[in-house]
Amino acid sequence: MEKDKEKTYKKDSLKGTLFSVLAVGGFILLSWFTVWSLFLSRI
Amino acid sequence: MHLHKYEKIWLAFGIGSLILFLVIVGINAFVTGHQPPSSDKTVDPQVVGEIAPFNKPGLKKIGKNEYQLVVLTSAFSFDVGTQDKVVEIPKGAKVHIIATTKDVVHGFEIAGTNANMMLEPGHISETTQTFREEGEFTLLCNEYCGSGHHLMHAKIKVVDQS
Repeated sequence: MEKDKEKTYKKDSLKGTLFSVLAVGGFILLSWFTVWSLFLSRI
Repeated sequence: MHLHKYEKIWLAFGIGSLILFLVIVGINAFVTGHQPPSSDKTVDPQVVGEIAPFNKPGLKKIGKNEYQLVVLTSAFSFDVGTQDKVVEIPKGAKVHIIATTKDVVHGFEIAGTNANMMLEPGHISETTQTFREEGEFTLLCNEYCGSGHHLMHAKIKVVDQS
């Protein structure tokens, strides 16, 4: 029973999730640094 | 606890970003002295127009290429010490802005610069801005303050005097 569970778990592919999370994270980083550089350019 | 390899990647990415942001904000605050514009100073909004420096709003020279700009706001105007609501500032000048409001909450934003603060009755807001670029900048209220909110503005003219 336990083994079966582990097997299904291992088969799960998280590639799509990884890509989505990194895409959202990348967008947040990019916008954060854009706003920060705008702030620095106006000091 | 079993963690998938990818889960470890995005957890590290998230925690790493958070630490990076906090370090940058910390450096800005403690090394370059960037602080929120509301100081601890308070003033009685009922009589603020009679108390110095708010009894004489406007631009005052306080040093070599260094100025103090006192602004007293009320619904729906910025008192910058001039009739036409235009302040002329020499290019490159460092201006210490001190502002407050007589009545309700107003916003103080010089569009296109970092000068942006909230003015609350009873509190004095301060910020410092160096005007490096020549041109005209609009000083506007960005907190909805009533029916005349959209008419509340003044002008900052940065002029080259050299």
